[in-house]
Amino acid sequence: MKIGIAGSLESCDCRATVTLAPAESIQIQSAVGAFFHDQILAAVKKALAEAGGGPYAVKLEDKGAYDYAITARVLSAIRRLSE
Amino acid sequence: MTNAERLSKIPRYGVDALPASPIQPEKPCRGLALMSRDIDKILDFVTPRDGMTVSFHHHLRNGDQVMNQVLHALAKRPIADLNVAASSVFPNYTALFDLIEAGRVHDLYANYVNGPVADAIGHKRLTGLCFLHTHGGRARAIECGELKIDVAFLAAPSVDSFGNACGTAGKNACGSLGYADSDLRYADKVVLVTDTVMDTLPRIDLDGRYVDAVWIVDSIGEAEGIVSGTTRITRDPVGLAIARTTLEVLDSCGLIQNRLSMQTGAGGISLAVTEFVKSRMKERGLVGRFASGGITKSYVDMLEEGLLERIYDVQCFDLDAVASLARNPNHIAMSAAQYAGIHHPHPIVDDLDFVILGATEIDREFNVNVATDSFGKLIGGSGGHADTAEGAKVTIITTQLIKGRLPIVKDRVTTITTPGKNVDILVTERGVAVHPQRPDLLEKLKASNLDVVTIDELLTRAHALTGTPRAIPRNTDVVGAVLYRDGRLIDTIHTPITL
Amino acid sequence: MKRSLLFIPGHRPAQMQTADLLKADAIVFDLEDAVDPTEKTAARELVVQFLSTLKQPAFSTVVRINALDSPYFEADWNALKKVAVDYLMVPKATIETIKSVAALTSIPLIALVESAKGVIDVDAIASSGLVRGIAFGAEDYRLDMRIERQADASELAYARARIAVACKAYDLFAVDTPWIDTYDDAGLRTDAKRAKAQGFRGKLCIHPGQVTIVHEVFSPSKDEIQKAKRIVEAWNQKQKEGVGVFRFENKMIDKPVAMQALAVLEEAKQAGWRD
Repeated sequence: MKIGIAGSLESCDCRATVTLAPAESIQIQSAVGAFFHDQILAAVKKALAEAGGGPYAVKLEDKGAYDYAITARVLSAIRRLSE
Repeated sequence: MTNAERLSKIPRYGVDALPASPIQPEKPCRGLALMSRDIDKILDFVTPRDGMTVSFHHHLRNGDQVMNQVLHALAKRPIADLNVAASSVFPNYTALFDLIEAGRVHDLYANYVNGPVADAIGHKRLTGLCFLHTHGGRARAIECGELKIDVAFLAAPSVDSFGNACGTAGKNACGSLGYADSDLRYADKVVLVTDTVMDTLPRIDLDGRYVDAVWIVDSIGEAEGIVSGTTRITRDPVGLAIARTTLEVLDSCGLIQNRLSMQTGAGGISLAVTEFVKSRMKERGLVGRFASGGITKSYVDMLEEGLLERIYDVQCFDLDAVASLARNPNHIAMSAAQYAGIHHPHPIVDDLDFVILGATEIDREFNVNVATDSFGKLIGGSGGHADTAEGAKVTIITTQLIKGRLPIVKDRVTTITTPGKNVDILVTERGVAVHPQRPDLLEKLKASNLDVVTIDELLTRAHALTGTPRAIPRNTDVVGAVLYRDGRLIDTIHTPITL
Repeated sequence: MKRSLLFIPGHRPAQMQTADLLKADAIVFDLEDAVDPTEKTAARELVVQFLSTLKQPAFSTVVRINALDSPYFEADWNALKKVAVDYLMVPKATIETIKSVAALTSIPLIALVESAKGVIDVDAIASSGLVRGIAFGAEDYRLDMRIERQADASELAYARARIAVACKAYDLFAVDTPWIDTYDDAGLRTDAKRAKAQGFRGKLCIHPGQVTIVHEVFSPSKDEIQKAKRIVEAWNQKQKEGVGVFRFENKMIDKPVAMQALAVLEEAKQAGWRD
């Protein structure tokens, strides 16, 4: 199965792992999820909307990344799927 | 009594009247009765029993092996409901962790708790409660009879045949024994634990009159670990920027002048501030009256270069400080009571012009948390924070505004260790805030070209970058109490929030 | 002001989002040498997403794209079409590469000259009207020239002079090569002064700690400011008296000298000086 991965587990970053799936799913493991779950989810969805295609199964391992970095990592992971 | 009932009996800070602090008579001095390598002889001598309170100091920090060896031996005895009064608890204190996990520890009293023991407390493994004191508050509790210690096991780098102890000589010298003094004079029985017996000690830090027994071991700690827990001066550009701003804040407030007195915490930013203050003082040919608290090489250098007249040392954070204490008459050891006890006639903290401290959280009222993280997990404790913040004329908190994605400035701190009325200035990398109660400082800072804003504005700036965090209520289960330096309850510790 | 242009690697969020604290005049988000080939895709996206969060930053934004002949160039300039960025820094610049890049984008360009051919092309690049500034990259230049680094940087004097003069002639900003010994602040100061003496207005920085020193060197000193102030005051006074040229503090003051003094004061003000 093809997997696209982008990012890292360094502080302020996140790692996005994306595969094609029968239906969209988003799994978030975040060090700060208790405080920022809604924002993190929105950032992932923003990337999915921008990328188009799919549906994708997204796993996000987050170490306190800001929204822009989450969106970027998910987009890059999707891009790597088709590389 | 349940835990809740016990907590309800403690007078509350900000609500109830200041409790009295009547200094009690010291322990009866019976003379040194026993010096042995046999721990069982020692334990038989101190007659361990259920519910006893044992105490330790933490001057060997994460390199300490005294508590481990003592508790390891005590664990073999059929004792239940042990109460432990450790001045601090570090990650290497595994024997304590084992006892707690085995359900054999009732109450823990400490000024700082970090590592597996802190996690165990958060998982409700104590059968009683964790009481967090300040350094001054622990001394007061012991000397005013609120915390009664049955047996104090005090690591002593070197002892003589009279039971006197010295902190600056021995195989594992740790310097000042400031946190051991109250235990020495008030614990019912005192056992020194040492790896070095000498004919003559170069100086006496613990008076042998109070000592009942000496346990001789192969090693009281690991030399490398002894200086662990101290940080290096920060190299992070953001941390350095905060430190530089702090120097300008100090200067604009008129605090960098002749005869100054100062104290800084042990964090990376604080150490950088100390170096910058030192350079500024050198440039202007200033001489300070003293620096106090936990002492590092930075302060030793200032003393030796004539930038300070004296150092008052409650704890040595590196071997340079130990060596300086040993040889320099102007490097003076002080006890926790002399340092910060409100029951003491003139604690050193009251003489401080300024103190630089850290925070895990600070809120709109300038209340500071140094005990837990934002999930309520126990990661520290006041140490000298609340003591110095109250005593010093100007209290400056230095911290990054955001760590990871979490804002350090919040609506409301998760746990209060230092009340906002004792905090004057907050310095972050994205602005400086002054407590409204200090219009004098605000005026001075506004005249500088520093970025001075309200603390509400700092919150706004943080949220602009991180997003607005959800406000999460604490769990209801209480596992501990934060006691202010006067013995009153200022907050409680709860089980941490898990995802 | 272009006293400091600080490189930030484009693949690490932690450094990017604190870049504004470092007080550099410009931040160069690097997609080229600081980024491993395996990270080029991710860095590009990260920089694009980050730039879109900026609202009126206090610093100029520059992106160092990959070289024209690299497999990454096309994706770089495609991606950068959708964000606001002040300059693109074109590495390995020659008149040909600059012309090709300028044909593809309307974003203002900074030519990073780092080869012998680049140095030869400096006049053409400066006069082309296609760039706003020229930066010098000595490491790759030395490699290309097969010359060794000298203690007094004498091997760079020719290249530096060509760049500084061409920039002055065509009113572009000239940015000197980075000082790579990040632990050697004294060496940085000396090298920055060398560059200033040759007419550079700023220096590339590769470590946040270099920014303060670079600003000190490339901003007018207190003495320079006070002297300029005195000249301007004397000039204004003489103007009132209808005198166009006069002697002041052992120097001949005419209009160009007075304008130069005014420029110094203007620079000082931008650097934070208040009268």
